[in-house]
Amino acid sequence: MTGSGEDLLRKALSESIRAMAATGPLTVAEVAADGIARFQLSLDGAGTPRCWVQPIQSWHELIGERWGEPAGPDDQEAVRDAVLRAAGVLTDGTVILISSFSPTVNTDQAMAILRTARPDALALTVPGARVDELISETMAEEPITRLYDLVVLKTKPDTGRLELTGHQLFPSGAKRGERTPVSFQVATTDRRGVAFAVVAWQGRHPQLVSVHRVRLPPGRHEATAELRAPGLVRFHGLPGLVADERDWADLVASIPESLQEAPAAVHLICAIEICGHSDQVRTRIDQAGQMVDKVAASLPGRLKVSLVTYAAHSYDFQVKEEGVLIPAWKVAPGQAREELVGLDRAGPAPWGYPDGAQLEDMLAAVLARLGPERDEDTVLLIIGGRNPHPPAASSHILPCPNQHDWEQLVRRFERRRGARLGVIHDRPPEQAGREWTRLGRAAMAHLDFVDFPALRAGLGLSARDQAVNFPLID
Amino acid sequence: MSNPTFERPEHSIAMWGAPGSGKTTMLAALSLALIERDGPWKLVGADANATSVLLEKSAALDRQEFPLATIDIEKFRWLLVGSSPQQDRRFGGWRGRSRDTRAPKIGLNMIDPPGQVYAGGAAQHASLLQSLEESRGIIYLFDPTQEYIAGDAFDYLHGALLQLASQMLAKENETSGRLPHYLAVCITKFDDLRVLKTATKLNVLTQDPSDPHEFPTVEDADAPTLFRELCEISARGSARRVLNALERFFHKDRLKFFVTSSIGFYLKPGTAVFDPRDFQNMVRLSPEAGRDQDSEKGAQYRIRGQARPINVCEPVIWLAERLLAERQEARSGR
Repeated sequence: MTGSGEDLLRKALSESIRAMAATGPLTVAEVAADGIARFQLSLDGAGTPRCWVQPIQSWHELIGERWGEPAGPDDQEAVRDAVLRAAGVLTDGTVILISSFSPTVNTDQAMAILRTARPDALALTVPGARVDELISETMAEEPITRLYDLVVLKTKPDTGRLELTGHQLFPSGAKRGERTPVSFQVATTDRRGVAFAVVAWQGRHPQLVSVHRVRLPPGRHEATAELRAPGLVRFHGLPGLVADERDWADLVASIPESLQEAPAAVHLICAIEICGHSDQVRTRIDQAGQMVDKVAASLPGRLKVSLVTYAAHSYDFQVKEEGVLIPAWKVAPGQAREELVGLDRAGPAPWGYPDGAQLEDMLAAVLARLGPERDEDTVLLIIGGRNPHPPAASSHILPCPNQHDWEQLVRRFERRRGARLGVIHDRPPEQAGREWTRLGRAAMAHLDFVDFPALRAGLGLSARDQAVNFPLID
Repeated sequence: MSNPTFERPEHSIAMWGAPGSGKTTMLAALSLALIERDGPWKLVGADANATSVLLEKSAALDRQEFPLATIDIEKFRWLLVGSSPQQDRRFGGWRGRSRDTRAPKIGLNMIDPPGQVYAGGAAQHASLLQSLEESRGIIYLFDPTQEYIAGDAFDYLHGALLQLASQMLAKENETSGRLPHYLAVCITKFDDLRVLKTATKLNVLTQDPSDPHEFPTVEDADAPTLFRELCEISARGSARRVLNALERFFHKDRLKFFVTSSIGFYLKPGTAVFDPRDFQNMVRLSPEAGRDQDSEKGAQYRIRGQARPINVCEPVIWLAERLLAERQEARSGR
């Protein structure tokens, strides 16, 4: 192969590839020493040149022993048809004919047939040319004809909703080797990680170019996108990036309506009713422990836990009432766990008055202990079964001896910045009654079947559970 | 052991009401209230056994426990004993007119059998009917809270009334067409929130200015209005027939309504005045407490504070005075 021949071929290929948008597919027929190969090039929906290769069909397959021997008219016609079929030149679009071997009887005759069939075709003789490599390199060297974007999520400032949009990686005309740094954030994703999807824009319509995935921890990340070829973008700085097998429609459908930010610091207060059946009290303590564990795992280093216990009022002057207790206040999750073990060992408080519990006293004690508002989220999780006492005679439940108004106290708590209230009730939500339905308005679970993800979501502790499978851009 | 008994009194009062309507508690409350009350009447047992039962029930109430019903309590008899005219000249206005200087005595029968003694099967309860027939005063207890749950007051009333009427009104010398008894209808559980709320809604609550505790009350004149309203909340809707039946079978001028409570309202220790925010005097006990009580097995409630019976003496005294007056009129006529 001569340098000038190769250059000529490269130039011809490049021009033809670029012209495909207007002229249609490009067919490159290579007449080689051992047969005929065909390369069928076209643009995919994203404007990326794609090449379909028909492997070499040997002369023997094409013409048998016909050439070099006397032949009749029928034989010549058969040879012509076989050559044209193998080269595939009788199609729409541009055709390039390449003879990649020193002329022989076979190549000369074949080229003659092809030239006759497509007199408009560019015909080149480039002995020794590796046509497949040349085509591949030329395709890779071609500038992209459409703008390439990374698919990202942005939060709309006015509504807070997440919006799928594009972050430009490469403009139209960008060529192989160009690089673009990308800074993005990752929230919590599903177990397969964040999707790096590249789209090419044609007008207002994006076409998917490629989708890869990688598991990244939540937070800010940097990467560099490199255009390796039209339709091929590689991301550096993302070890473990692999092709994403997830269905695109599913990925898009998984985008949450809005982003739940993981709170910076959380104060989780578990208020546990410790009167009643010992098994039930034990289950309440156990569920409190599980909640502590799960929240601690999702907010490492950012969780403080308080434990508050309450029992039944005593309406018997002979029986001293044990008030609300605070065994732990704003301690590390591990310490809270130890306190819970102690509570479990201590066993249940006396059964006491069966129709209510000191829930309203507990609310008053928590509010008093919380003091002024702080820059932290306060989550109060009440785990129990008995109703709060009314502040005054209004039902069969005797009024609170301290005249605490639980509804007023709940409103006071909920008015605090970053305060959220949820319950785990002994009975299913539909049997919990008006009081507990009010208390568990934001989040309610049944003691025997606690759906922790749902409970944490209701309490705003579920950022880790939210799957945001695309990079986030400010 | 001697078992002293009183002579059989000329007149008796029968306490009548559906099972669970509070007859036993009212007996205990009556015993305590008569002691506290400034007046001639006291309640005593007609024999040692009856005295023992009375003591037991009164002591339970004093311990803030609800006295449990006693099987076969209808066998016991108590006496309302007044002061002799010589001792208490206020009573009866007989001074100088009567030679009878004995203290007045009225029998009190607690007809409190478990089960539906009045509801059908009257033949096997002939003795109870005889007791009712002999009594010229009846205290009929109507528990609106029980009626709200069970709604069976009419069932317990109607069968007995028919049996009683068929025995008494069929007699040839009976011409009035109504039973001759004086009837004190006691609306019980005035301390219950629902009853008090109903009275508040009807605007029939008043207050006795002389009452240091400032407890709410319902004037006897307004009691029928409250009774009528409470009949409307009957679980089975049959309570309204109770009033009709009472008015149909008894003389209207021998019928009187009282709003009562055997335990009264709760007063917080250290306070002396009724607190409308916290007055409920009945506390449900925990299942554990019920199990632990040997003497009061199955007890579900106790009294929260001291029992302060409301209007429990008045129906009895009203009946006693009516019966004594009737006796006096009969003797005078003779």
